Amino acid sequence: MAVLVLTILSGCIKRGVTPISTHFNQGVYYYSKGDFDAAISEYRLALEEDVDDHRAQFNLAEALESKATRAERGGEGEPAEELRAEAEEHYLALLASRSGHLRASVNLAARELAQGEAETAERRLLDTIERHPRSALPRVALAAHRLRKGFKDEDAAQVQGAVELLEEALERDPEHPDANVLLGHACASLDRLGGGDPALRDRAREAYERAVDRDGSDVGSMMGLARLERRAGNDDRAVSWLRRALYVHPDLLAAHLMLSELLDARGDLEEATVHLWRGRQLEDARRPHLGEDEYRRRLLDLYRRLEEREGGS
Amino acid sequence: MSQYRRSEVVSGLFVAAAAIVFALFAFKVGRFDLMGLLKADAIVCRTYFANVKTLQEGSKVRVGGREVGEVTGLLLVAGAAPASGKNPGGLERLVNEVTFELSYPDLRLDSSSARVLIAQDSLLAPHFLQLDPGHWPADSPPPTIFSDGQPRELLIASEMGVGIEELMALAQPAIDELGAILRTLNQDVLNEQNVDTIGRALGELDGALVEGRQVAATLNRGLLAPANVEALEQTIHNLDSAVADGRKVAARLDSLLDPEQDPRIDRLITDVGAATNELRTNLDAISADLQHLLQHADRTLSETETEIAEATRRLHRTLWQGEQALRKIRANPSVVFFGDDETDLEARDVDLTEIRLRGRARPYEQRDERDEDN
Repeated sequence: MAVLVLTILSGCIKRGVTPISTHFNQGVYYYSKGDFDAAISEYRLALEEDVDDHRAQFNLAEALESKATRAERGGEGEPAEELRAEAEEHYLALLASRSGHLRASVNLAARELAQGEAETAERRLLDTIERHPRSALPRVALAAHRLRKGFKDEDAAQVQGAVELLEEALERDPEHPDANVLLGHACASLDRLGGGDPALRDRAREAYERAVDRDGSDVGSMMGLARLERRAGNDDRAVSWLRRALYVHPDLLAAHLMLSELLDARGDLEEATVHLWRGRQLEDARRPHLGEDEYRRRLLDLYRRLEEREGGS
Repeated sequence: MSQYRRSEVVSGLFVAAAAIVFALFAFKVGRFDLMGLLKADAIVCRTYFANVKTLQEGSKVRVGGREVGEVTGLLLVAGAAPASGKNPGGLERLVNEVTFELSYPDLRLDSSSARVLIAQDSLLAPHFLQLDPGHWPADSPPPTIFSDGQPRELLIASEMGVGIEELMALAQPAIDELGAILRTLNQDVLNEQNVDTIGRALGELDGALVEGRQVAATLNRGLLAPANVEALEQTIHNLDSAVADGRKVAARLDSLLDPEQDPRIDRLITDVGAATNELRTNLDAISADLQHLLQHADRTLSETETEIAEATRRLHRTLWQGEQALRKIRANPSVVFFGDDETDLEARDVDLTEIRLRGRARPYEQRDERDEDN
């Protein structure tokens, strides 16, 4: 009854209930919606109000990099590079005004790695680890780089090195969401590379669940759990995790595709078709998952089986 | 002669009596024992005592309970003091010289081994001298005291050990040692600290005893109360009865289960076995159905878990938004009727997968605008 009253009240007040008025908070809102231009504009206004606002400066740099990434995927390489250069300037300015700014150091290292300067990036992260011995973030960042390399080369030793770094990070912050999710990815990868080890699967599951307990909207850990359950043969639980991820992010392409496959295997053809269609709509031609031909093939196969079930020819 | 008058005779007798009295008085003052001239023959003996107690002149001298003489004199004279802890030897002291006469003609004495001591028949009786004549070989007894050649004066040794000082001399070393032990005991064992400790321990023991008594009293009142005892007795009686009944039932069953006595029971058991097998089969079928049902329920639960989790998350979000709405109404109640134009600018959940995998730091979240430090 109380919930009903509160809902009605919320409706009376139309849409706005949260006290968001500052430029910084509005910038965060637009960034979360994917409107990077609006976010960048708000962050600039926030910096004009307070030049020393290091959070606004960092978020501005991050929004510039996100916009650059989108531009790259849209085939706009030159504007992307300008945006990244501006972002780098902001990171350097942060390091100049606040020596050893943690997030700026980490993002600069990521930029250096993307530019091919792996040694410089690793040295920067190691310096950051030394300067911030109690922080988990630089260890997580370094582990992420090693993990990506290990996934790419399918190198179990690299992945194991990343696991050790992540465990050190978790010693400092046992509930760090990124560390837990990455640890889950690493253990799942080691399980796959090693040919199947129940202990590694359990460890991965434990890490993912810790991340979900900490943040109920962490789709990365939900997707990880879905993949684990599917690999272990627990399709029902995998379906459950995928549905939950789609509640949080309805446009998660990988979730739609995996859910379509699982529902198809279970015999739920109608819903499998719905999710496959949605995936096809979300498919980005610049970064295809399945490709148009594969979507068509699967859809036609689903239609045929539906027709057979309904008694058609 | 009859011419003398009676008065003259009386006067003459009186004078003679007075002369006799005066003579006796003179003998007495001069210590001349006139009656001793009429006494029988006796030998004089002398001995020395440190303490003569109530012995006096005229006290009897006895041998084996028989009177053989009497004490004739008591004098204090200087004599050697007995050796003791205080007197190592060579000193003199005053002692009692006791002179006594022995007049029993058949008395024999061995002066070397004879001893005399002061004795008393009872606590209130006068003291007397008890003479031990000594001992000799059976074939050579000493002559009697009045025999020719026997001395008329003898020195007889007194018996030691009746005085306190002699006792003290014997007991002194033991007393000294006892004193040292007591001192050690007092210093090392019975010192103040130990006495306190013992006192405390005794106090605690006393307290424990009191508590023990209280516990015992409580037990006595509670457990061993007459009502409880009766109840226990009744329970035991009931148990006995139950055991007896159980034995009877067992005997009855035993007779019932004997197929020779009644084959119907045996047939019944056989029938029950068949029914049991059928029941087991049915139970297995039910168990299989139940298992299937539970699996289905598990699947349903797994599927609805997502909806439940998401509903919980949304409810949490709704409640928070409701709180914000109430705050707004409290600040400006008119918004209930006219609403407002504020846009919902709360940040949405962001998929950080790419940021995470690329090792980048996530952006800062919205901050509380009410907090001036933020």
